[in-house]
Amino acid sequence: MTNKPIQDAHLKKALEHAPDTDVQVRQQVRNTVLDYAKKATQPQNHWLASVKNWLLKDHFANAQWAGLTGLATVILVTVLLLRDHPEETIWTADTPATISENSPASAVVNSQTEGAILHEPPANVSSQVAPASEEVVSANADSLTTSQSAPLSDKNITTIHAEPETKKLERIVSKDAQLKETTASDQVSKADALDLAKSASKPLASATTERKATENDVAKQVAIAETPTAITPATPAAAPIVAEQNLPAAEAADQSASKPISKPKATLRELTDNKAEAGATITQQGSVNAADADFNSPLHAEKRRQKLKGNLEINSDFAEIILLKGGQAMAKSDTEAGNYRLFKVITHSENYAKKEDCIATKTPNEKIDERSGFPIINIDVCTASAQLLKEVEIYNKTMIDWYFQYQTE
Amino acid sequence: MQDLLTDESLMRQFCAGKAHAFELLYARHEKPLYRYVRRVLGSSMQAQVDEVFQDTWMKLVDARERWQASETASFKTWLFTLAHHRAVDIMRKNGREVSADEGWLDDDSAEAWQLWPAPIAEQPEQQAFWRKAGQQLLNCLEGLPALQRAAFLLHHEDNLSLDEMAELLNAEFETVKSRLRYALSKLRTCMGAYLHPLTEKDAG
Repeated sequence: MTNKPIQDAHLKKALEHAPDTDVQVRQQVRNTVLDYAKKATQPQNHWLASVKNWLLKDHFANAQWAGLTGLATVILVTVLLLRDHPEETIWTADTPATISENSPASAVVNSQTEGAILHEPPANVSSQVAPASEEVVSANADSLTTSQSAPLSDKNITTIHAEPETKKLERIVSKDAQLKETTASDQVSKADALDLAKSASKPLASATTERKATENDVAKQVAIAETPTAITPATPAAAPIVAEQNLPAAEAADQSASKPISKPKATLRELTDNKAEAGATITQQGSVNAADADFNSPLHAEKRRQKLKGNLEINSDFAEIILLKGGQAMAKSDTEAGNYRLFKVITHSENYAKKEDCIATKTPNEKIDERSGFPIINIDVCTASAQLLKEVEIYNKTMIDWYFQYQTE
Repeated sequence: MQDLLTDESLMRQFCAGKAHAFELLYARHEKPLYRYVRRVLGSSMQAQVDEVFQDTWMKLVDARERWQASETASFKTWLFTLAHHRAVDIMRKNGREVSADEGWLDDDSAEAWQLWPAPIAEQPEQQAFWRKAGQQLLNCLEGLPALQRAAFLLHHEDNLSLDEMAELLNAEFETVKSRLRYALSKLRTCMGAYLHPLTEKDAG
């Protein structure tokens, strides 16, 4: 085996003179190859490093670049901070402010309900709630007591420590309550528009006062709606209430018009009135809710009458809601929900004349309809439109009709 | 200084991140490689010349770390190996038969060139003759099997030794030698027959 070349001189010479000897590579191909090699030798820098390198150069020598460079620096620092602390950012953005105020780490429930202390109401209720509404707030606030205002040294206080899961659940329910609040505001806005359109002759000041009153009542309703929120996580029997909180927005809006007041109030009053249950824990609400189905039977009219007596305080925004929804539809939903009541419109023209807040006036609802045993709820308004009176009449008629229909059955 | 300018040294510098070293390497081997690719592919596949040429260099760039790990082969051999394999791939994809096709061997070199001018000292008046010879050689190359054509070109155009060719073509030394001899025989026959009358006339 020899490595000696076996070249043919003549062929080699001919090959050297071949016409394609001087053929040139296309410039595009050459550039592609050279660029490819150049890129391969460059370090693969992150874009942030490129920006940083650019910023480190002396761009400040030119005044034109000073502003742009400053802006780029701010953006870069922001991006770097967000990259370094993503969890904190997410947590801050995701945590609603109302949670820290309305959902304390430990929910305190005062079981000594007769001597219930009216604690400082939540921020969204406190300053705008009229004095006459304090009864509603106080009756519900006993389960909404915050840890900062609760007398922890009191021996009669039962403290339910919230677990991490409970906090999560509270947050979900609180968000739902916020959704409800938004829906309720929308409803109120529609009702306002409807009412304003129908009573065009009403002075602007009155309309403004009514709107303020409506907003106050919405805040009250939200506060009431949140009442079971604080206690539901620790009470499995209260699951139906939680389920109601998670209803779609439209249904939640419907319930905010009729149910939220009666349901929690009934359960709380159950705890309040029954001395034997005074020391009981919140889980006893479950028996009350389960008994609601029994109350729907006409056979328990007397029992129902006793149960519902005085339980159904109504806020004045019911006037707007009944106008918006219609008396018949509202009565139907109330009967389905077990809210048996009749309405009576009471006009407070003296407040209207004094330009006072109409919600401030509230008459006690001690009257009971003799035929049905349903409590009569007073609707306190400054001025009563013909449409409102008509819808209330339809509502009452529907409720009475429903009662007699079941009684005859 | 001389050591810094060898192909292998430049390639090492390129592997170290110096793009300029690659530019020198490219400038040094651009034309020979391009000619080789053109001639191996033949006139029927000229459309693929640029593709094979470009792919070869890019493959070299991508595989530079691998070359650094095993510096047994010379840079030129490695470069032409990449080009050869890429060209063979293209030919196979285009349905071209890539075989040695030993064919016949008629070693009659002395008889073939007896009327040709001596290739060593080129006279001015012989320029036209050699140009025609070069064109004819390209035509004759078209008739060779791909591997014989590659062997001839690598040995005569790029001056690769038989050992290097064996490594490049991934074949035994004797196999490569045999392919080369077959190629030479065919080309002599092809070239002698075509140029004989012209040579005879010029000589006369």
